[in-house]
Amino acid sequence: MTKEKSNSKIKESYIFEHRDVLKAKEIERYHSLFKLFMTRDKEKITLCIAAVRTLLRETDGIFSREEMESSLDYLNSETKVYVIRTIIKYGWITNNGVRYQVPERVRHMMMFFFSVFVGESDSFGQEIDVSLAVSDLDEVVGTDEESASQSLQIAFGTLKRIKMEFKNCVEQKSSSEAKNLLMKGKGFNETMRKVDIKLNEINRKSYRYTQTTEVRKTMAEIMRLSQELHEFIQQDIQANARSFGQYLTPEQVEEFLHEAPLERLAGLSEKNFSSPRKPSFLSREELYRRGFGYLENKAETQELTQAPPIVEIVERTFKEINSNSASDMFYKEIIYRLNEQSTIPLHSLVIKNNFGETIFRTGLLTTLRNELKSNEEIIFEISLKDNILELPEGFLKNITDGYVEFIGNIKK
Amino acid sequence: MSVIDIEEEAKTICIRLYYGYVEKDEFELLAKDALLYRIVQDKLDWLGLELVDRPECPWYIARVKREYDSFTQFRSRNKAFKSVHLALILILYAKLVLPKRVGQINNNQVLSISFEEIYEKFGHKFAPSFKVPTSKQRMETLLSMLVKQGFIIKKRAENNYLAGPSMYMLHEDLLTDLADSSLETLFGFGNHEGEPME
Repeated sequence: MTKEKSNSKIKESYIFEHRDVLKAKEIERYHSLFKLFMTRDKEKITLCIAAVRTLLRETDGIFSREEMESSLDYLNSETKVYVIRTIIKYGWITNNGVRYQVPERVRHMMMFFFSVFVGESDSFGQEIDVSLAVSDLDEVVGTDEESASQSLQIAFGTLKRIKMEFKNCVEQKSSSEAKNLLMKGKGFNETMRKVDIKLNEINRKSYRYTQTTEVRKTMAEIMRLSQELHEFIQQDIQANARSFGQYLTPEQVEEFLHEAPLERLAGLSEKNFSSPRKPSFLSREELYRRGFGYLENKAETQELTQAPPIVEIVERTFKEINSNSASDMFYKEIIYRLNEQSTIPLHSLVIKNNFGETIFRTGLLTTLRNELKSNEEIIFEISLKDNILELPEGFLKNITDGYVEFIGNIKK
Repeated sequence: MSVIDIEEEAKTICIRLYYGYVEKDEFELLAKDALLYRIVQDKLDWLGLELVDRPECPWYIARVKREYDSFTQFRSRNKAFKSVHLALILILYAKLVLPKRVGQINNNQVLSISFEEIYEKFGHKFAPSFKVPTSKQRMETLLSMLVKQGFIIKKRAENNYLAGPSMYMLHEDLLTDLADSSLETLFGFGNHEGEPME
């Protein structure tokens, strides 16, 4: 009884002319294609789909039985027979009695299968891209405007879903969810721009403003929500530095360092710059003295060291005996030599193979003579000749010829 | 039982901090005694300084408070300090200090970066012009400036660089600022306001 009742209710809804029901009814005649998936044997389904894929790739579209079998050589004979039987049975390959053919619809379906189900669409950008690309098919196929707009609704449904995800995350305030969204929403601005371009295109072709404005509304809302999410992450990091690691891995930080221009990096560290204070190289005692003065708010004055105690000094007198002075020695030498001979040649007296000593001795000679003259006790006189004597040895090359001569004491 | 005059102890610590940075082992008392710590903090606060005491930092450092500090003044005293150096500081901060502060790496580990790594990874950023690539010598002079200012410490034997005391003196907001701008550039969040939305 109940079964009949439920059946009748299903019938009721089936007859009801909702546009989605009508649309779904259009696919009914291709349902036999999907019976392939009724087998519930995963391996068999996989093999069947693989076989269709090879046929699409390696044959010309229309092929004989032999060609088909040769291209499916990678299956063993039993499975080959089974696979071919199955795909023919469910209409993935049509047979006109002589030759076989893969219908174009199957080709498109395979393309769709292998682009949508294979590969991971882990970012929002990719998801939106796929849905927009699929909605583009409507233009190619040439459906009427109403159904095209309906499929656009489905395509932009992705945006609504993303909006809900953002909303949930912001409401729940869970950091792990936020990180997920962060990863998914990479390059979000670009996708938004893409959607914007698409919407403009749609508007140019046909005037479906009500729909596009709705989509724009959701986009704006997503932007606002992402802003909120960003603020939430900011606050989270500010509250706890450790959560920085949840959102950004070291590799990502490095990527940022590579990508960001130099001025931006400089600006960041300038904003938080603290002037470095260098350690001073003064002695520790000096530091303490200065520091205590500073801390106690005293003027920096130098502490005077105490004067040493007065000590009595015993004075002593020294007699200065200057017996060996240079002029004395020279005087004695002259006297000694004058005793032996009456005249001494000047060069033998003055020059001792040394330039400095020559000048010293000549100076000494004249001062000695002047001194003796002033004391009125002249013993010798210097007399110079007109000629110049050339010396073969020594530092000086030549000297004025002359001699020192004994005169005798004037006083007497 | 010996009685420690806290005022005197605090004063000596303050003086040492006032004239530079001090290894944490030297003032073992400071970590144990909460009252002393508080007094030192107050004293430094009165001088216009802040005590920087972070678990990852091996020194006690006193830095000038933000309201008394001025970058322009520092710039005028050190004319050779260019914005290139600032950028290099940020890069080295992200390499040497950030992982510890964020907790990705244990505090006991010593983070270091070799000259080759800096040169290979970030050398291209510091090129004097588009045509001329960065020479090793240029990189070395840039780094030597930071060594002079105490941002990094050069280990001559291994040709390594460690984080210096001045690196820890950078204000803590740098972390959030870095997070903000990296999120912005990597994920494109946060800068929607300027864009035209019909």
